[in-house]
Amino acid sequence: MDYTTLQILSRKQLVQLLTKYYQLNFLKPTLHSVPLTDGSVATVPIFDVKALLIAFLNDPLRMRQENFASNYDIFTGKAKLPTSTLDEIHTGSLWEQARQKYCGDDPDAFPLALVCFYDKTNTDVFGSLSCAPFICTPSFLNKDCCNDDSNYMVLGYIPNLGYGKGKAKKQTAEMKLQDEHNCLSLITNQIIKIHEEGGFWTEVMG
Amino acid sequence: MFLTMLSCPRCGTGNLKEGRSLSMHLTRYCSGPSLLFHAQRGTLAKKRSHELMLSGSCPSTYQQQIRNFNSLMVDVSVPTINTLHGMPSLSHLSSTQSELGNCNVHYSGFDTDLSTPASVDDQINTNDYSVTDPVIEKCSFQRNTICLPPDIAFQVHLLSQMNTHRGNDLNMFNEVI
Repeated sequence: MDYTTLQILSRKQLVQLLTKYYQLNFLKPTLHSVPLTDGSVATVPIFDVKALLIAFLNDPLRMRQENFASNYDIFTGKAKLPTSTLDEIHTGSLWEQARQKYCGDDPDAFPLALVCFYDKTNTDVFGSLSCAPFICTPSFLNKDCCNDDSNYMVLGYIPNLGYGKGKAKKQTAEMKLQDEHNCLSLITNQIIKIHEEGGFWTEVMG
Repeated sequence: MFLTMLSCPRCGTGNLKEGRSLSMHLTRYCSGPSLLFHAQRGTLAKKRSHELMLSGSCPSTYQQQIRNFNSLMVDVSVPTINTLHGMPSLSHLSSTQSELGNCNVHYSGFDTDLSTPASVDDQINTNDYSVTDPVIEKCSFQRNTICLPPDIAFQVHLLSQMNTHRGNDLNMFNEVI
């Protein structure tokens, strides 16, 4: 590396540059204002679920046979060979019922179940700077890949709704839960919309 | 016991006891000129008063900030070509012709306009379809299409390496680069 001609960009400039040239705008979240029951407003960053799913399904580095669950055909959602062993998600007793309900025998239907995870995480030692990421990963991945955070898709971050409210009970437990679910509905409504529209067309491992 | 009552040497007011009460007045309550009196007036005028900071000097409201954040426009006004790029680097001058031939970095191709459709995939979306034909959606990520200049590639690699160390403070990104 010849440092005499090194052009140093700031981090923001570098990210903007790469975003433009690699067309990564779909990774940018949108900020939504959610009114809370105590009259305040929470700002919730939400990602485009459909764009993230398409990016995952079109990624040749992730969509590899060695990343898939063993004995699983990702295009039909069925086991390649009959087995009674319970290990991966598709070997569960409810999987076939769900697959039959949503996909049936449609040759163009791609069964895509999502394993979702949602829990609060702290970003400082005091607990005030915290948020709850809503994470999901496709169920057709094997156990090792499900545990690999490079395969996670973060669909949104729910902020710390209880910050600054103290311990005075101005809100009931139901109101607090409703606030949280109102924020979560920004994410789950996207999944519902995809389902109601009949899914989307994309090319998997083409 | 007799105590000497003094007036403030700065503002000339008050009937203060000598010692602690005078120093308390000077540090907290005195409105007279301080040591900054000798500073240049232009320097002082540039400072924002507390009222300005509270009243409206904030550039935008929350809603405006959210609107600006959500706007899709990405205006990258950074210079993509270093003014020194016209001068061959030391490594370039010391390279043999065969080494230069194997080099896969092309500065000229970096600034190509990506707004025009260049691939077959892009043309698929622009064609007219019949009503029944499904629209196949694809990820817009341009994989392996651009050869980054070495200085940009270096910074991307550096950020990537730093990102693999989980104990790093994320603010370090802004300080290093």
